[in-house]
Amino acid sequence: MQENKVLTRRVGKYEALDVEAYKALGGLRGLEQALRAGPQAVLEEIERSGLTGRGGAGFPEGLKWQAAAREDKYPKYFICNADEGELGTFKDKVLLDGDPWAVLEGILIAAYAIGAQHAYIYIKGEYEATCQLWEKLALQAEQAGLLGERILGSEFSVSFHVAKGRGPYIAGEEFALIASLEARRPMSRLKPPYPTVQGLFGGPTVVNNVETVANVPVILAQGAEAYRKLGTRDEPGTRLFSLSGDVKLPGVYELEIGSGTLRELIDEFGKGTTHGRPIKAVQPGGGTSALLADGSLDCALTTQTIRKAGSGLGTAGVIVYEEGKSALDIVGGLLDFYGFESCGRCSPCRIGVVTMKEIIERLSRRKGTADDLERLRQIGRACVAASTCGMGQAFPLPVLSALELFPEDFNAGLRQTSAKEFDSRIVR
Amino acid sequence: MKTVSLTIDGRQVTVEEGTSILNAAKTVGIDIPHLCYDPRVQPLGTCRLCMVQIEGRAGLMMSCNTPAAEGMSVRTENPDIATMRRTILELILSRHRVACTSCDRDGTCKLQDYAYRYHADEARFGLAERRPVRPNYTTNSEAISYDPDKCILCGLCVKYCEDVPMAEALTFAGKPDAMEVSTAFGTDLFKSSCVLCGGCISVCPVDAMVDKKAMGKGRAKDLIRTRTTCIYCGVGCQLDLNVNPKTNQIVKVTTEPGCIPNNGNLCVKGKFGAEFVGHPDRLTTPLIKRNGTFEKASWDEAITLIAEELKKTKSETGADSIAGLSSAKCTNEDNYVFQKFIRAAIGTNNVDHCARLCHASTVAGLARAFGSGAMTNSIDELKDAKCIFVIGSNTSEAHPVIALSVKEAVVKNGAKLIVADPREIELVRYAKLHLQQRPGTDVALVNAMMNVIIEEKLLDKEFVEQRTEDFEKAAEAIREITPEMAEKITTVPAEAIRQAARTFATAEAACIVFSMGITQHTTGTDNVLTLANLAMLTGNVGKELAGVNPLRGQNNVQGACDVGALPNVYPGYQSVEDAAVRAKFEQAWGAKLPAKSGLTVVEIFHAIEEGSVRALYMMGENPALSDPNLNRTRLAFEKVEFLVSQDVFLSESAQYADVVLPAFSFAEKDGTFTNTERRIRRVRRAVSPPGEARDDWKIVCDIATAVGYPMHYENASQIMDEIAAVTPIYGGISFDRIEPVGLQWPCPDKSHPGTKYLHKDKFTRGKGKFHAVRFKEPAELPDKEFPYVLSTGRLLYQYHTGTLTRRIPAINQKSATGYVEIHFQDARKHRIKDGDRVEVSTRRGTVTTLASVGTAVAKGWLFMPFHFAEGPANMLTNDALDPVAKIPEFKVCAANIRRM
Repeated sequence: MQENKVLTRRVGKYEALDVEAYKALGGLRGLEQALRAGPQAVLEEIERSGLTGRGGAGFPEGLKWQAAAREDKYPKYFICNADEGELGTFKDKVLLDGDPWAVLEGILIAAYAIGAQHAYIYIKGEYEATCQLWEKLALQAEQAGLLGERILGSEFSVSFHVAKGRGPYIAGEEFALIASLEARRPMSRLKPPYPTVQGLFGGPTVVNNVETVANVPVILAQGAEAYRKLGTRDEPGTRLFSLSGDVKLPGVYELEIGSGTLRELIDEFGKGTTHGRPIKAVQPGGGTSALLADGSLDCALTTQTIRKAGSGLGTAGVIVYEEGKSALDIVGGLLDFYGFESCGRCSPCRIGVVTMKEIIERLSRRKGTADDLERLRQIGRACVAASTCGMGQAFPLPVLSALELFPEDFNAGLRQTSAKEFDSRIVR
Repeated sequence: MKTVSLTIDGRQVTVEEGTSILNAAKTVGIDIPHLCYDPRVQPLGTCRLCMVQIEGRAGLMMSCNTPAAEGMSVRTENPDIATMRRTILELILSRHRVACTSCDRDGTCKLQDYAYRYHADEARFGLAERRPVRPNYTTNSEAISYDPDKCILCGLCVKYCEDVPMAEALTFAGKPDAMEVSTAFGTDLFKSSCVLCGGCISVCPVDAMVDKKAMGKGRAKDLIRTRTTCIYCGVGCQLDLNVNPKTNQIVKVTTEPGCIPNNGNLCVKGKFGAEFVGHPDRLTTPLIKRNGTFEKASWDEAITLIAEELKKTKSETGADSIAGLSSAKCTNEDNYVFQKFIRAAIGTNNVDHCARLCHASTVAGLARAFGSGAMTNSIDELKDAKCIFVIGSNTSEAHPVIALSVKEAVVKNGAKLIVADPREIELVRYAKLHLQQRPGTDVALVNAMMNVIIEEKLLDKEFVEQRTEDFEKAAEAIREITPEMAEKITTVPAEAIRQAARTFATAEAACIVFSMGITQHTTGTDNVLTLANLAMLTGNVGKELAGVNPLRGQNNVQGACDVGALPNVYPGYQSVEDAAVRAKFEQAWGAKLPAKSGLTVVEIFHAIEEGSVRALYMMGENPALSDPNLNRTRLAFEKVEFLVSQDVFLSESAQYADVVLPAFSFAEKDGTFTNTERRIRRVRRAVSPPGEARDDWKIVCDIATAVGYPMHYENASQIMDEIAAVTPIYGGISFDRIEPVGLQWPCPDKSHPGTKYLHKDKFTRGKGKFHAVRFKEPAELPDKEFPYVLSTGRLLYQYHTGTLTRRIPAINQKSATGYVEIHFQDARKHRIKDGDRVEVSTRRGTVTTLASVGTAVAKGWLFMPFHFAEGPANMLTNDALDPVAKIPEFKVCAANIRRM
């Protein structure tokens, strides 16, 4: 199993603000090609490439762009979502810092294709240095004639703004992000209407993840057909895997989709678990993906196979937990995070996440009752079925999967459990 | 209208395309549970209870946001859904302080209903802890109370505040385990951008957001709701007085989505303004002034005294030495009886009312141009309008519920709004163009707009040729004034005038909305005629979403005019000087009627000064605060020999009276009001009256009888039948026909459905008539001694002379006292700071008030609200009259200001 650096091929190869160096490394070919071909051709090319969103939901990009392009309402907006908040996910930062011009190029192509007058990049506030870099980059780009009026001498004009997030996790959700840009409390909202119809300031808007955007110049420069040679037939391209948790060598690895298995990723790139213990569980798609037990790790790294295994590829943030941790600790930690970060909009998520957390805490103190386990399932199912946004629908998945995979950890938290039995669940 | 058919729980349903499943189910009586849906705002989908199963689709869909589609098969209940709903309800209950035993909403609470329906266990996920009471943004509010422990965070109040009044006062605060509704940074509600419309209370599904005054005064299920019409402006909002029958007290005011014209929306006055009804200051017995002080008297004594005095005056100096002021606050029935009393029993046409001070020029102007002086179109049309030209109307403050439609038209439907107003009023925020004309220069502004329309050939030639006359005469006057010349007069840039003209003329349909900024001028009638010209020039009369729309000020000013409380016309605008008409009324009323038009409001006071009017009967009017040049008015009050005041409170004017008679308030009487869109609506009795107070029309009948002209009616409905018999435009009106949504006149016979908009195919007068109008300066211009232009107007929170609203704590908290607006550069010149005490003076008087420094008015201009007795703007205003309509020039006079 080997990395195939397509999006990350220039990372570390040039000084981030040096546009000339970027050009020398083959940059801007995608944009030039796009401007030559015209918006309609770009839309078709993206659809042919089979590119899907890399932010977690995996929506086909061609459809999303066309939906916005079709709207007869102006101005239109393009937003690059760089509010990388999902637990165990840090791959966008590599691109933002290591090959920012490619991201900007992708943004420009996208804005051009959908007919946007304004483009934004919304960067996670905690990425302090990245924000500063992008502010400088925007100035540079303007001087280089890549932003503003008549870009590269074409008829295409777009304004570009760098926005800095202020911390909330939910601002990574597209409607919450839009609300945040509008200076409102970041909260999701009902769909439809989708952002492509009614997004930022009520205008048609496309929101794309950084990695998604970074694919765009590649597709334009080499053509959809060549691009489709990467990955599998159904899922072309590469994915940036963020590997973290109990592994010896965490990091971001770019792999062709389907080119290896989860276990290979952990063993070959992560060099195995931190303490060399067996793997207890893995979250393959960020903190809201269901846990996979050791027995399910031999599945290929594609959305479909991982779904079949019982989880999701999501943001491709692979979090590894080795033996020695109780499932209560694992899900307790996750719920601490999501309990703090729920936007509070929908009642099942707002109350459910906090209530689940309370129950887990009770179990951790060995004060649980058998009914508590049923309560967890009841809340979990309600949230999955009845939440508006991805977070509400997904945060209970680790808990629900843990209940299935590690019932003994939960039973140990019931009131009648002796201290000895309880402690025996934790290997020191 | 395209429809779709689907099955819901096995029942066939056909609804308009785009209808949500939730609403489609409602049409066949299936109630899908929901806590966060309200028809006035976009679906929120926060409660997650309204889920349904749609055949062929995976998962559950939220029915509030899923449109019904052709052939769909929907199940609203199954075991899965029920479990899901129960779980969600149990989660909600775990964070809701369940206190049903002592809760005002017990029995009308949606959460309680659904918990019962789905057997939700309130303790399943832990009982909500009773937290100590913590101060929040409503702690100091007199109006609203918010209980975060009962709040279920459905977000409806936040959304309503954002979407309907667009006040954006409310927001969410805090993290999921301690989330609350709050204002930005938790500022006190009354200091926030809240406009106290009470919408948040009306949408709350539980008892979290409540009327503070209603707390503990009766559970909702024990209150009796009486639907009636609001008394606070010409919009005529429908509201429900919630009365506790045990205490005979109006506990609170509510309303319902779907009612016409307000669709469940209210403004601060409608919501909180009924508190005056049970006020201890209410008059409860007749009072007779003896040796300078009022003494309680019996009804017999009072009526005998009044009858004797009136008879004496009449025998000494004739009927024309008596005058009556009727009231736009009273019902149609009261006004009809009053004018009949003055005309038939006393024998004079000296009857007028405060319409003289607001829309006399509208009635005069539109009658000349179109043939009838009323709003041509309907309120309901505004929200779909394509282009709205608001001139001289601070709609958000004077007609707040109509302003909601204007804002909705702009924000949701993309209408183009042009605002012409000397002040930076709230609507300017939504406007494409703001033309800030110098006060009193409207004719120049509108003429210049028409100049552009004619120059650029944007006029509706066909309409002008076929439907109107005298166009050339008007065009001559219009051609004289170019935008550049108008810029010199109005200070509005010529380019802005051009843009406004183009926007208005090229819109598919454009409507004009105006109010007292147009009418209260010595050129009031001219102003109205110019607007009529503009509408005809662009073909914007006689069709939907267009028209000339004067917004009437008082709740029944339209009706009081309609039923003849005017000196020159009988009910239905039939001239008193027309012999045939007069003969008809003489026969109907069985009395000889005077042939000469009577005196108008201001003329009556001037006549008192001269000694030709000696006795004055006032029903519900307070000229001692509402009329211009108060010093002069008050001298007249001192001079008049016999004065009767029939009112609910001892007003400033009643202080001068010889006899004061206690009357019913709107909450105690039956009758009708006619709103600004000509819609006749019921007023219904909700509480029993205080003390010996009586119905206005009954008092008047008793006095008429005592002076020798017997008048008797069994009830208000009988009076309306008589009105219908003598008033062609009301011919088809009767109490049973105006249930439940009213009828818009003209409604000539019992089968007529009423008229949504006027002048379709044909103007009332036949052809629309253009008038050549040339600009004239206001009567008084600034000079060295009085260098500022002073204008007066209304505030959202107060009503007219404040007799009613200033008795309400919730309102006083928002609007404690009067002020004068001044531009910050002018203020700097006089070293006036915001909030300083200042003295404003004109040739007629001086008042002290507080300075409000900012940019609301332009340099050189001042503005004062007129509601406040402690700094009465009308001490300053000019009583110069419009020659046609006799309306005084409240809007322009020369003034000076200095720091105290």
